[in-house]
Amino acid sequence: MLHGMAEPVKSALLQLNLRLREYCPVGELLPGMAYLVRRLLENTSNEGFLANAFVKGESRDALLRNPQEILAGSRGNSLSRVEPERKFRNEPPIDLTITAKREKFRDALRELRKNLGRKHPLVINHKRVSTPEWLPSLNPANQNEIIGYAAQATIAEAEASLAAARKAQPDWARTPANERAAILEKLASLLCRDKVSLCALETLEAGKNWAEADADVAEAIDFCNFYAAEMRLLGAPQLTQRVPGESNVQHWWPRGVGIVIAPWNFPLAILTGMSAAAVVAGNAVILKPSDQTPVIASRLMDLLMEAGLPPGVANLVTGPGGTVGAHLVAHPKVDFIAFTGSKEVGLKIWETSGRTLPGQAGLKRVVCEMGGKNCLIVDGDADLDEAVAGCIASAFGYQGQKCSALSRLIVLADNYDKFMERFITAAASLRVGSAETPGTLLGPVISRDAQKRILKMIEVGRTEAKLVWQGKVPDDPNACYVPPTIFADVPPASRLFREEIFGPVLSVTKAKDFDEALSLANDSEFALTGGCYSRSPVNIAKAKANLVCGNLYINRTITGAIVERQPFGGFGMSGGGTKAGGREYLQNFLVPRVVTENCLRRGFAAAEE
Amino acid sequence: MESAGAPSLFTKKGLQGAMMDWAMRDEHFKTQLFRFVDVLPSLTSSSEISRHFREYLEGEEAGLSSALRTALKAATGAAWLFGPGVSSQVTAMARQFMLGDEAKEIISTLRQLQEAGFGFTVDVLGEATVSEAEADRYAARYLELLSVLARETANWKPCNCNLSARGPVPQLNLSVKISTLYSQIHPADPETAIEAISTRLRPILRKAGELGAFINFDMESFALKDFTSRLFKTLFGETEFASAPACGLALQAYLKNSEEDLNDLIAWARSHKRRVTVRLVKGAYWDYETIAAQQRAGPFRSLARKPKQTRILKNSLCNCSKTATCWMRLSELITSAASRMCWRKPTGSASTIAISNFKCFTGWPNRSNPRCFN
Repeated sequence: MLHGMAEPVKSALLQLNLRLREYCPVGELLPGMAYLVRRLLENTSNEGFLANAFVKGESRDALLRNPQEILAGSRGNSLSRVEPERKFRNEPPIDLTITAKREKFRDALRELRKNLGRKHPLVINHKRVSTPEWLPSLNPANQNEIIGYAAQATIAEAEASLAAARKAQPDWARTPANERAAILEKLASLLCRDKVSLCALETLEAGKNWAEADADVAEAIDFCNFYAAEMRLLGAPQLTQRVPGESNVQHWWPRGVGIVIAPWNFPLAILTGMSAAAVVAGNAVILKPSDQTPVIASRLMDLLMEAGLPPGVANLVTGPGGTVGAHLVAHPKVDFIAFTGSKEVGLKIWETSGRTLPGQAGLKRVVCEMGGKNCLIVDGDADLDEAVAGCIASAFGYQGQKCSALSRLIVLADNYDKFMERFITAAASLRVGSAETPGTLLGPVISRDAQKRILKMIEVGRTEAKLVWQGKVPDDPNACYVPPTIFADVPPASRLFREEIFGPVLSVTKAKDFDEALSLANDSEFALTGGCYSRSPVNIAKAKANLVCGNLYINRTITGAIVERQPFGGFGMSGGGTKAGGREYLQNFLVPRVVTENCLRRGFAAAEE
Repeated sequence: MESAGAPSLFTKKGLQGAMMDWAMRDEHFKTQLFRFVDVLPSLTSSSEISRHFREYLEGEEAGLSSALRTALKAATGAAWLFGPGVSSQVTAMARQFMLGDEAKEIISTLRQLQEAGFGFTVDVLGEATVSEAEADRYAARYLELLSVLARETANWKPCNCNLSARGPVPQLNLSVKISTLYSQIHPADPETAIEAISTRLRPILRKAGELGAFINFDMESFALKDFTSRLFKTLFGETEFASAPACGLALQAYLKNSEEDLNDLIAWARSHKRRVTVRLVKGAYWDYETIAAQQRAGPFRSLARKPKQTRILKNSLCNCSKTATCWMRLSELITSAASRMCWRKPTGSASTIAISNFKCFTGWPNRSNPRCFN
């Protein structure tokens, strides 16, 4: 039995001459406090037998009731906080503690290896279109391994895809919302069916480790199911105000035809999310995926067709963004653009879309999600067990290539030395290697170009701040590794502090108090994610009120937003304030219409419906 | 038992007693108080302690009822306004459950236990292991504890607890948390983790073998359960550790598949002709596991109606009232194991399972199973 607990029971047992062993925790008070809190919770629990006996003075009979009876009375009580029934459920992660699941993952990788290096044509109007030029997509962990070849569209194919979308869209818009939603749900079930093979593909093409790949596929599934559920709700016209003699109803129309320009860092989730939202809303789209992950995009396109999407509603156009992408963005026949990517490209799209060309039907809507320079504050009283692990995961998960990744860490002076010592040794313990090796946290960055760019930024950093730690990476000339790097004493005016790096590079700055930490945190043009580790209710309240970002996380990692639970997106130079996976997201792809009808005829109104 | 008097935590006079009393009456106060206790050790100055005390318990922002605030002020008096006063109160509270860090303190408490007729197992509390350096430090700490305790307890007379029907039981008993011994445990790759932990554990087992000590693997969160069993079987299956040290594993009553795990362990023990002690515990991660499972599975509706939502809830956690369920499972498991071990004629070196220990606190056994304490 536990030391210090339930002495009456112990002495009773000893009197019965039974053998009794005490569980005796030893150690310092500081780290032991969690143990104390657990004991206190047990001691003061309402279910506590001894507390009921000695404090509440319950009778012997009440105490010795058969637990079966207690259970019968409480069944469905303590654990059944019933929420209103909703259609949507998040896709849970694969439980890799189960041997069979790990085997499936390995099998999927083996199977995939047999099918690498294929050509992936464009898809226009459900027809596969080959092109004279093909661009190889390479494994970031082995640049000699070609995952597949992506067709390279020219202006002609871009025009053809646009024509197909324009032709298909009116019929699709007239398809009832419920039917459109059903196709999305079908797509979700297909993604579920192919989950492990999609994960394997992400591992090889995007350099995602098993858990990250699984999270990306799960998010894609969530987007489909969530937007489907939301469209079913939006599909029903809504009364704006009840007034006698007049009917006022709002409903939504699709915007028309759009371009979906997606990045490589969540190669399936973001592409699926933006396309699914646009399509379920009754629009037709052209998918323009990243050059780095065209094979995943091609798999998605196959599944869209298999799910029963009519020809032309979704088309796949791979090719150079600078020509084909730019041409489509500027096109007068395009009604909206859904973009997720760099600030540089985002701003260009924003500007181009603002220019109205002859023959253009309306104002272009741009959903623009860009980068971040995300900040986390570690308060003087933070729980370092949690803070160290959370900062490691936020800064180095997927090599820091998430829009939400931690890149500016601000540590209160009180905690600075203790935190940094543990943080750096924790970083030094991370397993680095190819993403397909199970259990590695840090893999290669996406491409040779990215590797060069990040390494250059590290060189810049050396001149601006103090490099306090740099990890080691495998010495493999065929892989695109960047050593994880931590800079300290990073001045707010430096490039290191201001520019998005999109790699495993972290800047640390010391703050003398929480207010200074907040103003440092807010000293950025970006406003995507942010967070703080603190156990001061007042400081937590300050962070909630003042930290400028679209997604604020308290006492946890600042990455890993979950659909519906944490609608994701920022403002400032991080984006236009749209929230992927949020309730309002579909409205970006819709225009509201209000229909008012005078129901009075000569002073006589029909009975209200 | 009634004659034995109330557990000492409830008989504390003054502030501590009042605090516990209020905590049991007011859930919000309990949360605030325990959160304050949680943060307290990391606060390095009196002014920081006062600030946190105000934020959690005293000021408007703490959100306590005004009656409680007045009572608290009256009870705490000046002591709470100064950091050291608060710290010593909480330290005193912690002393009740922890033996401290100094060898002297530890030994003196263990000695008292021994004299009162209790056996002991020592568990090392500490920070989470976030780096390999920290894992090394834990391994060194386990080794050091073994040496110190062996030296100090060598001449102690065996107490009742260490004499079983099958002969003496090691007096020196160390509980090991395997998550302390490797910082990079990842579900995708148990093999590497087993290798890393084994490397740190072998010297500990070797030393325990030499000293005639007992090594128990504690059970932690569900994610580590199968992993811990696998590590246990791997290590104690090695030739070097085939007969020493004496070993045991904790099983958590609140997990539905503990019975399966127990049978599996019995089969392993038999085939390896190894005596294994099972420490059947209630399980300390109930709240954590339920919350984690709900977070994984998305919007949470009703476990009672939809128990199929996640693996852990479906297969593992008994999904009803925590205390009563745990007691029922405890009694079921004990009777099932007891029927295996007691009513079977011992045959030579055949392995057995001894249910040695209840690490549990609340509730009461099913009356229809009075055997469960025997």
